[in-house]
Amino acid sequence: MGALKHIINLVSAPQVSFLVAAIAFFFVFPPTAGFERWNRRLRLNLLWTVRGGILLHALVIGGFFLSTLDPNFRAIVAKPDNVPIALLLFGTLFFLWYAMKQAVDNDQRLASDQKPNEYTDPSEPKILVWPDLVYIELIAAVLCMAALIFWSIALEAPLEQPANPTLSPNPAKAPWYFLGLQEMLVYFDPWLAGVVFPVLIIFGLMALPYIDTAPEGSGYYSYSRRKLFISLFLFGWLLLWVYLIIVGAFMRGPNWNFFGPYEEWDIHKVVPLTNINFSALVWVKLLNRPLPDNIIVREIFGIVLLGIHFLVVPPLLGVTVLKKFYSRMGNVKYAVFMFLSMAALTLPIKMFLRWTINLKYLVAIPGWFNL
Amino acid sequence: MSNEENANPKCDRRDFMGKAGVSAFLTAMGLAGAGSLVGLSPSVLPDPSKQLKIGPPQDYPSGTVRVFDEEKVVVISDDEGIYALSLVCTHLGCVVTLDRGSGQFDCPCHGSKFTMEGEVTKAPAPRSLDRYEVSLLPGGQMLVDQGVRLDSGEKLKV
Ligand code: FES
Repeated sequence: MGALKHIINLVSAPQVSFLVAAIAFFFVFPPTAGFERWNRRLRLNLLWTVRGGILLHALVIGGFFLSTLDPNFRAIVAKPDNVPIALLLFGTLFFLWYAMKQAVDNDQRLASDQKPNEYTDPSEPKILVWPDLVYIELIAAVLCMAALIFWSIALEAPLEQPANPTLSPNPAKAPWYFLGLQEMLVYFDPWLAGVVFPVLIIFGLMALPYIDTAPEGSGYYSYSRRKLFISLFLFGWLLLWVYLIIVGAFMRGPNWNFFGPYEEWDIHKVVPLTNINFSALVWVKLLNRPLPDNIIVREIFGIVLLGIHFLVVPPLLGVTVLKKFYSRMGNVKYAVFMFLSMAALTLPIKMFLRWTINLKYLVAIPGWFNL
Repeated sequence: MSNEENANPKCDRRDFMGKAGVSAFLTAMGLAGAGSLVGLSPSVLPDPSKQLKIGPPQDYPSGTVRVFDEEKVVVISDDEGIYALSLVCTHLGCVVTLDRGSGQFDCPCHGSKFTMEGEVTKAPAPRSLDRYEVSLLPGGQMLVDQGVRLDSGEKLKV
């Protein structure tokens, strides 16, 4: 048991867990026909059946409750602050499964030339808003109320003493919905992590339906008809948002150090490492020279890399791997799409550079731009 | 209402209401946007008196580390002299804590770490902790001036 916990602690370190999750992601949510074939071959599409769903939930919920036997794990998840986050994550899992089940159901129906589940015959009688829908909403509202009342009685509110400006709690955590941002702030300038990236992620996700305007598969749940965009959406949502919230909420302890789920939150955990800027890495370590005084010269390598990332890679992909996609999308849509994708990619890339070569900032112009 | 109003083919009443609504909306947004520009200049100026008397140098034998919670300053004395660092993280302004065991400052918010000299060892903080001038007053007291930031690693020699 101890050994197993130790392994889980090691594997959940972001450098491992994020990589594994990112690779596994494309097999579970295939963006292209090639991945889709693998998805079938590995039987991953069975996840979205009733049986697969029961198994999935049993594993996750069972694993969760088994883990609460561990005092360190329990200490974190049972904090009144964290209970709703855990509930929410289960909710996310369930609704993800439910939507995927409906989509895969429809995919199968369409493959065998049936109409999708949501299809209604125009000659059938319609359901009225009043009273049918309003009743359902009323019942839902009453149930929500009951759940909230029960919750407020059963669980004490996490109230603390009056705020004291000279005393920062350690770790100092944002509310749960900002934890993804707080986690991003570890890697980027506040301006980028706090404003640019959230805006890009949120608006990028919102923009996807307007970039993919193909009419097929709209009006009902379906996956394989617009797999690329659903897959990308889920990537942004699950890995760049939910994953970061999980890490921020449950795995960041004192001094914002990383702690595995069964690790004790030790204030004195020592993480020996020194971050280094890209400029120092190239000029000092590689070229054996002192850092140039001129900021632009100093940061030139990082700037060039960034330029390649945003300005060279997209057109290059457009004429090679994504040729068909490019001609289908046209200039504007392709440019918007690529900009959003490349921006979204900088996040995992930067995280990896931090984890592997301890990179502090690729381009570091203090006060202006740190990436 | 008379029929004459509808006689104008370019703009009937419905159109007019729509246009009026849109222009009212745009005006409101424009004014709000212009108003928000005010926010660019800080309305509260940082209070000027930021000088802290910390007692005579004899109170600070080499190896002393004294934290002034209220002022968010730490005064450190080592073999080379006495210096004062700000405890405000240069990333987003959380207050760093001193870990006496490992001899470094840790930020509770995003995990920046600083050496005892204030240098960043772990990102995201973009630059070192601010270093304030420490001077000796005629009366033998030392004064930390939070208005004067030092760029180099100067220390007060005693
Ligand atoms: S405020 Fe200190 S690391 Fe962000």
